Amino acid sequence: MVPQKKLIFEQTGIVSAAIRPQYIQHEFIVPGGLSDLFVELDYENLGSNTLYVSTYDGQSFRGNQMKPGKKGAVHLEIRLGIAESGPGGIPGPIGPGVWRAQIDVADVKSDQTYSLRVYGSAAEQTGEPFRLVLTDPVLSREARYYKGELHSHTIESDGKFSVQDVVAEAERLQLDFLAITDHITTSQWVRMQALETHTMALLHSCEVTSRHGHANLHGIHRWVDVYTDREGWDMNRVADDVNSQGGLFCVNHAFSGGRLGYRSFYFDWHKADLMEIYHNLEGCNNQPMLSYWDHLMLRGYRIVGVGGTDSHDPFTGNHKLGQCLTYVHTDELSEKGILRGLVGGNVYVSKGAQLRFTARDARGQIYQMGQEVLTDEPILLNIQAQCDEPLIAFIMRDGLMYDHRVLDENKTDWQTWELSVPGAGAHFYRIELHAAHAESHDPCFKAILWRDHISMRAYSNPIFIQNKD
Amino acid sequence: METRKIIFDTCGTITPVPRVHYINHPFQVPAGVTKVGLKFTFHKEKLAQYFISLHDPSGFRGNRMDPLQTGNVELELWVGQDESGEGGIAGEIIPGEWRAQIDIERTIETSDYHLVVYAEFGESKPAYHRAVHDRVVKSDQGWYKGELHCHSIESDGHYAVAMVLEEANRLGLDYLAMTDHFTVSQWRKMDSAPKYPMALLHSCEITSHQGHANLHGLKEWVDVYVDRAGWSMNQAADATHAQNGLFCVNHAYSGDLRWHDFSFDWHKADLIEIYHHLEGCNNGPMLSWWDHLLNEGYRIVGVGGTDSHDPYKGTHKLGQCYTWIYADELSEQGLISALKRGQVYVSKGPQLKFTASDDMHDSINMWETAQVGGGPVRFSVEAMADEPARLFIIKNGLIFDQVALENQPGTWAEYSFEDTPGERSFYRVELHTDTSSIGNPKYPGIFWRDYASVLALSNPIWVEVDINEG
Repeated sequence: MVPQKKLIFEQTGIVSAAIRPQYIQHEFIVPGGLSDLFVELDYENLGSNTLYVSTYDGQSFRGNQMKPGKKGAVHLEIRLGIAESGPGGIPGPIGPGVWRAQIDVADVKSDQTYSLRVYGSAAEQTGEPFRLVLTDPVLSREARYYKGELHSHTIESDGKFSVQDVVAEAERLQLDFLAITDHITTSQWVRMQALETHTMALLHSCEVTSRHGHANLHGIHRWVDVYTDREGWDMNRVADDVNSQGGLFCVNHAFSGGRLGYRSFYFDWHKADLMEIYHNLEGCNNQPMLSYWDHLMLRGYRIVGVGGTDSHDPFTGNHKLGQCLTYVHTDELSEKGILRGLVGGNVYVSKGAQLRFTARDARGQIYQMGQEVLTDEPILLNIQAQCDEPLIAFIMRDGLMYDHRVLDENKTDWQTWELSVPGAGAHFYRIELHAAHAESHDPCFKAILWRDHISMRAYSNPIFIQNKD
Repeated sequence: METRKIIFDTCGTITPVPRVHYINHPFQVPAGVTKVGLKFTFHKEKLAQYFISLHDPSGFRGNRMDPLQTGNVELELWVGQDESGEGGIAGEIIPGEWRAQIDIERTIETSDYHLVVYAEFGESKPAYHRAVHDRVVKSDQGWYKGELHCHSIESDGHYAVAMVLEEANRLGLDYLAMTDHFTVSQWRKMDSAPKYPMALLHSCEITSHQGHANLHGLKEWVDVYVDRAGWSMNQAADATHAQNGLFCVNHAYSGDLRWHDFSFDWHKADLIEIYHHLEGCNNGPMLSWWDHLLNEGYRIVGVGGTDSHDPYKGTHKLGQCYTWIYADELSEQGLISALKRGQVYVSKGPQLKFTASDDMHDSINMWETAQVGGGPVRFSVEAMADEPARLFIIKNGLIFDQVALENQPGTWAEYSFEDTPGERSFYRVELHTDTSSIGNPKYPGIFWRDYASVLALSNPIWVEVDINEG
């Protein structure tokens, strides 16, 4: 028998476009003896307004719901039980006391009325209260490149499929690791806990989704306050919290164009561990992402470039998993192993091509991506590439194009290009592989070479050259 | 009666490895010669880019190139006292040691070449000597639009200088820079052309193996052969500045023609192409690199260029991309000074005004600096476009904001915004075509902007923050 839902709180309100609040808080009292709680927000979106709702018990974040961009009647519902929960919600005891619902005003272009209701129900309790247990099994101790997806969503935020479906598809595609980066919430960790994967490491991640930019947090073990659009709490504080947990902070799709671009002008880029240099939905906005990364490295920041599909649907279109992968070299396949590999920077982003990039100094020592060569003598760059189509390799030095070469067009096995470069000065070299086809060269001068987000097949991370003294 | 005599004849071989940049062949010109000419022939299968130049004992006498030709390539260059062939500079024929220089831009082939130099002994005539003068076309202060990058048959363009000028005038350009590769033989043709209501810049394009650069507002030729020991791009820039000319870095990400002079001191660049009509998607990194340079504090003014080799056709057609300059007067010197000052924008059609105001000043222009002491700076954008336009505001290289301008075609739309920067910052604006394809229908937060959507690019306004002020 389904227990009766009882209304315990009701509030209507208006979000003023002129005032443009960032967050609206409503406190409510939860009586004792409840087994389930329903936090429901309804609004009729007639313009381009977007509201999210989240809820908190006396101590902790308990869930978030969002339907960004949805027009007409929008119904958001966080359903919390003791052992189970609905999408976006974190199960656990429904303790009596003061709770809070927060409306996150993602966008308000015209005055928006809303209605917030909280219901409770008391059913007979079955099963143990949910407790989050983070595990990190070691799936392989082989030191090699592992490939995976660092940006995906499920129905826990605005994705289309369940965690179970996304994980199953990622396993079918033989990914070695997967980060489910649902917006704001960490309820995906709850579903991950119920799954067993034997071949794929799952990262505990979450996406900061603010008006001043998006950031993926990877390898954290508790929820981070992601609400940075308020006084006293900003991206720097979020990054500090992530780093204090041993996690990684990744700047996402920095040039998305609207409010999804990275607009935290106060941000201390020393706090960024990773940055998306290829994003499968961003099209031509990928170019400034890559260029800004060059700019940051020229300024001395060491930020590892990664890719992301930002998949909201693992099966279709440009959201389909497996189209843009990040390859990470690490000593073991586990969450911690992937995080270590990401920090090390022996990482490349691929849309189909395999890439090896090393440097050899005069004494024969080999350096990997992410490493620094201390030398005054010339070094030998070694580029190896493999793809099922002809490639052009570009060597980028300090943000400019140092050299390029069409790799042997008739072969699909590994191609090698070795090039000696001067060792003097402080420089960084990185490699781009692009598809080579008839349109790569301009038809008139045969001198202009076009390279963009469409022709891209792989981006390396850099090798840094530093004077010995 | 003129008599022609072969005075030098040589053959040679050019190989991709070892990499040689120039091959020089000196020869003697006897007294009494009134014309010197050369023929340089080689066979080109796929890619062998060789150019030829002629130098008399006191300097440069011309350059020839035909980069698009394949098969048997023949370059001919001749100079007389008062006349010359394409690319050549007429003038006194000084006896003594001359040289022909082969410029090996790039090759993947081994090629045999044949170089023949001939001399003619004719009637002595008064030698051509260029008189430098600057014509004031309009003495009004105002916005002037024109083209900063185009070519004629004096290098590898398809039409004579006279035809390019005629077409530019017909299109209503206020100014034109003829930037033929290597040579300055176009200057004489410009000086003797009809006096159109159009200012002409005396320019030239460095076409080196490490990048291309336009030199504007020159009085005399600058040594553009910078791929040799002792003479680099830096020195060519210094020589340009010594003439009060401007140095512009061209199409920095263009494959084989990319900028990859890593010893270049970017302080020496006055201008940089931030939009180039042939470069397509390579315009993206050009603009981003400029943002990088601005963030690093370099004072480099962003300009546009069609790089027209044919004023009438296709992407080369003149009038598709303008650089607008706010100048004190329409003259070469007026434009050069104004370009340096930086009240400049690039446009594929719309007109744009971008100003700021601080507590003390009302109309701070592009490349000027607003001063604030912890308070806001107010910015004002006015745009007139024939199509719906979306405005992107760039702050320190990142997107600050974007908004659809609700303008009627042919009327000015206004938008103002303010910001309180915490540190020294720059702001620039971009206008893009606002079609439905610019926004992501699914995620209303994504907007795409690229070289195809761009309509206009401003130069930056700077804000200096003095927190001790007031």
